[in-house]
Amino acid sequence: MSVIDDEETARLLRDALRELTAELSPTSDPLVRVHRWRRTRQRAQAGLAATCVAALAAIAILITNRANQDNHGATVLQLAGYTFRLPRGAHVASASPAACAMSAVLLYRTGPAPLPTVPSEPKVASAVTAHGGCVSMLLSAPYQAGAEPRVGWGPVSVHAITIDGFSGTLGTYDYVGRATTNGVRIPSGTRRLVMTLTLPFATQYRDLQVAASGVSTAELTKIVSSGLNTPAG
Amino acid sequence: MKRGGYAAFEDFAREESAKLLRTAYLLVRDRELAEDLLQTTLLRVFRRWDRAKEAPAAYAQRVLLNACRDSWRLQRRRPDEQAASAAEIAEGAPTTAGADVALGRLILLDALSALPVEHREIIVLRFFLDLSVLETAARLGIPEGTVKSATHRALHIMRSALLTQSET
Repeated sequence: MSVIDDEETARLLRDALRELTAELSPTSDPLVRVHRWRRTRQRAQAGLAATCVAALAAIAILITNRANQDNHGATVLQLAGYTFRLPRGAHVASASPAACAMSAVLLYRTGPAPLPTVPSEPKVASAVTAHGGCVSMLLSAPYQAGAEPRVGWGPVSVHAITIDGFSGTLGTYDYVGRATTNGVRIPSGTRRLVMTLTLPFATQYRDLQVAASGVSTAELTKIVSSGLNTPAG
Repeated sequence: MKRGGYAAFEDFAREESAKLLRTAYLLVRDRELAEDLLQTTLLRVFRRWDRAKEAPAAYAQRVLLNACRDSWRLQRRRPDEQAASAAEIAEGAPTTAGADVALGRLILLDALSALPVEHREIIVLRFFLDLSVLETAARLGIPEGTVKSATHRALHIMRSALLTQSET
């Protein structure tokens, strides 16, 4: 081999490094760790997202419950300006559950036409008790004296009552209608404890109907009485 | 990383994997370890793709060099200790050139293996990756003068090896 300079050595070196590694290629997927890392990360992100959703849901429930508490921390049910205090452990149902379905109990008044309803007022509110019972309240549209009720519920045992000066009825009803109300079909024969009170509304009247299941008469009376003490303005 | 970003990374990985693997192999002289370092490098580049995507090849080379150094430190052994012989490297390589050329390559490879790690890095960057003195200095984070002097010394050692071989 002849005498060589730096330049020649560098050229030989370049050729040597290239030629001797020319056939060297990855034998396995070089991205295998990248794929594994991505999968792990995606799972972690999905888990984190699920945790966040659960946390947000829990916060929403807490906020809702907080919003439905009075100054004493008791859970309350708001209905058109009335505030009903619920038994300990009860919580307000965000949507009327099937167990609470009672809209069909509404007294459709016949005779003189009912006045238009007040759109901004909540008309139905429900709460679930600690023991799984249910209380649903409904405020009818204003009507004039003389309108007669027409109901889809057949009275089983009903008697007149007066609570805090408001007269009405209390008794058990079995559902005899076949309508689907608010997307809930009430099975025929469904029994509800229903309290109906007539409330003055300007020169007309409104009916407050409270249907309950899994709640005693005494408890129901107490709940309704708590709201009637603070009538709507 | 966005979907398009991952596609760009995959393209980069597909194009550069072989070159990175060969670089790693020349540095550590262990095929299995070189593949391991390649995977480590690609993962690190992927995780920093937002930063790497401007000049991914240069970024990957820096990451690979660091990975090699980490590997040496972890294993507490110099690559020289596990280096294959020049003949082993040459196994399977094309030998269409003359016998002298083939012999010369083997001698150079052996001489490269005998170099200190710091010099070997410089030689691989300068003569395998074809980086300039400036680029090599930047990759390794050392002064240009060091690159020049180390290159000169390394070439001198290799030339001596070639001359010694030719004299025998």
